Parts: sequence; C-alpha cells; structure tokens
Amino acid sequence: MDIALLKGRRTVGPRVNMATAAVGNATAVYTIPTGLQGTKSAKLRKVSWRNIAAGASWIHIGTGVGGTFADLIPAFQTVTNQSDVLDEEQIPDVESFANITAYAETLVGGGSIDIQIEVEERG
Amino acid sequence: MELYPYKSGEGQMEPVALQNHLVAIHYVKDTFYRRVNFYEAITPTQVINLGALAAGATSPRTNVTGIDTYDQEFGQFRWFCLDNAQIRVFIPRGAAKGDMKTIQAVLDPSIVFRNPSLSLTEFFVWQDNRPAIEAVNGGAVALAAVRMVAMGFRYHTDDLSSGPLTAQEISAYDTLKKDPAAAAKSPAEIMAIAIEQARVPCTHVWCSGMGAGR
Repeated sequence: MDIALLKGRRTVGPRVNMATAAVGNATAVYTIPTGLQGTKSAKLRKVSWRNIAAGASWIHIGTGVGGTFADLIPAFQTVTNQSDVLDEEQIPDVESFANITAYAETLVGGGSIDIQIEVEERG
Repeated sequence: MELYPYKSGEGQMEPVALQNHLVAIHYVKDTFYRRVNFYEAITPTQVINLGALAAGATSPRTNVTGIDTYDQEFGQFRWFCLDNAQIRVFIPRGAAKGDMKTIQAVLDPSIVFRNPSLSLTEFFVWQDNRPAIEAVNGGAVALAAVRMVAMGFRYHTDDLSSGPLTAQEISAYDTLKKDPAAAAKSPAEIMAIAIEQARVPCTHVWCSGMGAGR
C-alpha cells in the first residue's frame, strides 16, 4: 500500500429525511467530530438521495442555515420518485470545517427527500 | 543481523529478536534479562471489541486481555482500529503511551495509509501486563463496534544461563568469572552483568509506557 499522508478517513453522515423545504430549514447531514485530538474537516465525496415528493426539486448542500447558508457545490436537480448518486468523480474537491447542511428548494405535494452523504474526514 | 523495535523490512514487520538472542525486558521500573528460546508469528487477529459506542461518547478505559501472553513470554505487536474511533493507548493501564508534554498521541484508522507497516503503533507486552485503551467517537453517528486488530510475534524466554552460549558470551562470561566479586554470583547473574557492561549484544524491549518526569 502506498503511503498517503494527506488522505483522510471515509465516514458517513446519518440518512436524513428532509420533510420541509426552504433554506431556513436546512438540516445537518454531516456533523464535524468534536472531542477528538486535532481539528477535523470533511471533504464531500458522495451524495445519495431519493425523491419521495410529487415533483422535481433542487437540492443545496453547504454550511449554515437560513441567511448564513453557503453552498459548497452547485445545487443539483432531483427527479420525482427516483433515487440517484453523485460520487467523487463528479463532486469538486471541496472541504468544510463546519457542519454540512442541506435543504430542498421545494417539496411538491407534501413529500420529502431522503439524503445521505459520505465524506473524507481529515485532521 | 541488526534488530530493533519499530523496524520494518520491505514495509512489513520484523521480529525484534531471534532464537537464542538476548533481550532486556523493561517493565515499568524493572528489567528482566532473558534469552529467547522460541518465537512465532501472530497473524492479524481481532483482539478486542469494545462494542457499540454512541455518538460523541468515550469508552471506559478497558484492558486488552486478548493480547496477554503466557508466563515468561513477551509479545511484540502492531495494531489498528477497524472502526472510525480515535484510540488512546495506555501500557500498562496507568501509563499513557505516546504521552508528550501537552497532548497524548492517538491512533485512528488513517494509520493504515499514513504508516502502512504500522511500525509507529508497535508496542511490547511482558506476560499478562497488557495495555488498556479508550475509544472516542467524536462523530454524530453511533458506532456499532470498536474493534482492534493486532499482529506480531510472541517470544518464549528462559533465563540467561539456558541455551547454547555464543563464543562472545563464553568469552565475556569467562572474563567476568575471574573477578573475585563474581565468585558468589550465579551464571545468569554474571551474564546479566555482561549485558549491563555491553560485553554481549542484547536487544532492549520496552514493555510499558513511561510516565512524565522519569
């Protein structure tokens, strides 16, 4: 095995059901570890979702909630009643030192979207 | 052949001593001079599972009894954690391993690609004076298990008067035996003096951490 001093550990956030739309309801999909030796950060490596709403919706992944929300990557479209994945081949090499949050712009027909992310935890 | 702790030939682990080699086993403040008469490899084996660990939780300090060796034996181990926890190691239970002035070094799964030979995790255990560990789950996801996998060598030892003496050892023994002060000493005691005076080769093996201020 090659030595890879810059590499981090792969880990996942919980599966989150986003049942309320809009940036004010952005919810944590990955929480930066605390209580460990060292400052931790997370590189977004994979996003998996399932749209259980009656229509398409844009999903934002970033940090913060409401007015403090900042996108980590461009928003992406989800299609009603379908699941999909973005993996590291398609995701820019962004790194966050804050908890990663996500929200849906709209949720048609009172539906929801399941989302889960995988990160490379560094530090 | 030059052998020493943390040595990694071709990226892999090497034994710290071979058959008939002399070792000085340091455990806390004691030193035991021994001769290796048998050793064998320990393949990667899960030696402890601390069990489930909630998000943000720290496990109690737990003795790793799975790594105990028999009487008159010491073990040379390297290990890693399979699960995404940060591990603090204590050898023995009251002495932190990797203890520096302001922090204690920790072990996490990234060791497998930062130090693939695991040489920096190497530690030694004298008989059943095993290490203890604490696991920290700093993440927001509970861990179903915290498992440690260890590998290495176990060495059975005898006292210094056992086994065939090398020509160098015989020479050192004969020289020391002529000293009148040695008349009342046993052959093993004389060989221990030979080691202390660096008249014969010996590998020093540290089977415990060292507390601050020693």
